[in-house]
Amino acid sequence: MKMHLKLSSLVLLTGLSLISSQGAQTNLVQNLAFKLTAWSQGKTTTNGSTVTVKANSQSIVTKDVLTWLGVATTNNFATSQLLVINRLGVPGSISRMVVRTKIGNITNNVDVSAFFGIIANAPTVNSYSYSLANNTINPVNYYGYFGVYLLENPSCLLLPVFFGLNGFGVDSVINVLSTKKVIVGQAEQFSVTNAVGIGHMNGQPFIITGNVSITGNTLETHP
Amino acid sequence: MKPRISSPYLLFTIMTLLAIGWFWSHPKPAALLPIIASPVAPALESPLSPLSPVNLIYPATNATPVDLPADQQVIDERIAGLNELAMKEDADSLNMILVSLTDRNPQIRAAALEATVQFDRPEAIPALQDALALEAALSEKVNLQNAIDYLKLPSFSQNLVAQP
Repeated sequence: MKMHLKLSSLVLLTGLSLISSQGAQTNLVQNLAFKLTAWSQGKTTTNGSTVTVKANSQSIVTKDVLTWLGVATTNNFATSQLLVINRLGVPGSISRMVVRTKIGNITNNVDVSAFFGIIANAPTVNSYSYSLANNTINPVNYYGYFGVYLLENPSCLLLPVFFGLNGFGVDSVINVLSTKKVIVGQAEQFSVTNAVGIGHMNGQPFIITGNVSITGNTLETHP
Repeated sequence: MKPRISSPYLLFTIMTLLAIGWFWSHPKPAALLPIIASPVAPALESPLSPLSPVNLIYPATNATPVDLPADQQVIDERIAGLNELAMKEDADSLNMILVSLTDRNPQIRAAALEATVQFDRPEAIPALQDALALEAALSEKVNLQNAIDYLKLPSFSQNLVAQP
């Protein structure tokens, strides 16, 4: 049975409970990026005895997803960023997908976690090493068959486009260093490349392909 | 008391003024050109709106790459900055991303390429073509060409504008 988990579950799956931390008030801020292509049936034209049928391919980038999330939440997310925020040093904390808008010195975060889902469709194949002596773990790579979803949200039915993608992905766990070169936690660098799936726009289906990534290891103080 | 001007001091002052005058009236040393005539600077002084073709504000030259930042944290901060710029809509932000396409550091080059794609404007294509012409590594050439092809695609969001 395909088990749908939120990104938070993926975080647990990949062992962020191994976090070691100096302080419990630090956030790990990462960039969530979409680079997709939507394939849909184009127009059919007839010129004399020649009938031409065209397939449309169109780009979907993070800005498009932000625009749709803005429609769904009745916000203007132009020039905003789509981020994944994890609290370091808090075992079991939930990853949050956030749209961050900066206007002057004011930063506004809107939680859009409910619109996203990331699952492991099958057990991952893992590559890592650890020391039996001091119970420390070295950088980890999880290889797997992942699904990434921009979900319809029952409490927010205005999302004009939603989709699901499945494909091979790599989840690499790296150490995050403080300015004093001390390990304050671990960050997952997640990417699914050449994924394929189905999307819907205003009820019309389309094929969707492309890449999704969660990258970066920016630290900021938890507000 | 009669003021005295020491001739060595006078000579030194005259020589200094002559040297400054010579510097500004002669071609600048090549190493200083990227600093003095940064392609970003004019765009920042006179922002263009709406977006102009990038080759107008970013000539088909490649500034000498700056030295590699030794610290990974500096690199990470630059990458985070590029990700932030990628979500903007103005020409200055695009220009700043495109300058990093020819950075000496491969991580920053890769981040700049990703930011260019995320910026999602065809005006970036000429700068990508310039970077492609200069690139020697086959894998990076492929990435640049893929980005060019991707930016030529129409945006899926235009369908939503067409449909009420």
